[in-house]
Amino acid sequence: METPSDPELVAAVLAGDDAAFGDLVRRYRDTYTRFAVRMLGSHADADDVLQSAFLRAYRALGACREPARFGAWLSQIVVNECRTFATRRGRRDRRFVNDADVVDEALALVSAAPFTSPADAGALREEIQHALLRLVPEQREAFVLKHVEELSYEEMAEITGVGVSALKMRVKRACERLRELLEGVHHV
Amino acid sequence: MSDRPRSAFRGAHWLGATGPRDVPRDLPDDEHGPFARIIAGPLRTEERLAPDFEARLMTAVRRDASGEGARMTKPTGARVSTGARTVGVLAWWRRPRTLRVSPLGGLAVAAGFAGIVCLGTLQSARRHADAARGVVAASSSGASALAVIPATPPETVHVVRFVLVEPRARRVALVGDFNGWAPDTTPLAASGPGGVWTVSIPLRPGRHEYAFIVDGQRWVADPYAPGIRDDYATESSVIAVRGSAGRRT
Repeated sequence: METPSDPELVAAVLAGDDAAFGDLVRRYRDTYTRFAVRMLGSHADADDVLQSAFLRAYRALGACREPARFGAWLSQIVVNECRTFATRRGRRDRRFVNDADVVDEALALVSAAPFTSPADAGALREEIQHALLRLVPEQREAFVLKHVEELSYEEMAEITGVGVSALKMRVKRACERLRELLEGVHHV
Repeated sequence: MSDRPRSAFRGAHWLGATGPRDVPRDLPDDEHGPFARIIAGPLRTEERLAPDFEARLMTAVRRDASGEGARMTKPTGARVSTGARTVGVLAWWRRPRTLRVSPLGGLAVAAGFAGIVCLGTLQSARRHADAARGVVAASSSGASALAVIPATPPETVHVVRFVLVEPRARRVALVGDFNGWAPDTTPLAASGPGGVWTVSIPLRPGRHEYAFIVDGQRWVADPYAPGIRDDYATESSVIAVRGSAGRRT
């Protein structure tokens, strides 16, 4: 049986077929999971944010003017949800976490156990994720979309609503900051 | 770790296309390109949500479609939000919830104090149990009902008891403008089984902003109280203690 297209599923949902929305969820869920986890650093937070994003999309589906571009529309919702959450949490982190202490702690861990084997990959990922979470949300978002999700700047601009030049600058700043945090430890 | 090669399909999927794009992918175009590729590699590991993610979401969707969800977005006397964001119904009921009883009179109303505290705790526990059964009970019956408290005389000390139901918390603290938002000055005490955390503090009449800090990190605004966002978009809760009427709003 031919897989229904996004516009067909959107039309079905709007006609009252909630199960069709389940098809859309399965189609896009995994695409956004990695982005949300990288942005938020937590599967639990990613779960909550994506629940909220999908439910928001369901409620606003009638406002999706181009069902053929449902994915682009949904991407904007997901990115906005992650951005809002990360920004708010960033404020809380600044209140209660001493950045310098956290970074020093992370670097000490890395220095104590250099990652030289595949078995260290998980720990390496965690340390990079930790550094990623030290970025301001807009830089983190730009870096993840560009280098983890491998989107073009034009695609990023469409999803985020930010201009290409600004996105390039954010990616550059993100790289500079990550290099500060990680260089000399991993010798990258 | 799955360090996938760069794929044109990835971005296309983000944007909802069903096949590879016919436009070239732009390569990293600055001096950080090689560095970025190295550190992005480990981050490309696929991530998975909990197996019941879709079931929970679709339950919320069906509830929303039946009208319950729509009501849940605008409950009377309650908020379906956390300090982080408005969340879906199921995400919401898994959240800790807070009931407050205030203000309480001084020793002259000691008997009432005990009764009110008991009511608050019992209400909290019942609501949590309801939530655990999937009974979404966000309505004005909780916090608002508990706000019906005998009036306290003017100039009495208003003791406000904060109750947070958070079974998984190891420690909970209350922060607010009344304690300088210091996370280590007003801890809540575990009050019996079920993850009920409580603290009673004196508050001056007036408007106060507050929130909870769970396990020293997680910021939780009161889902049953009016919220306010600061300049950094962090949501806190607001309690107004009336000096004459002796009620909180």
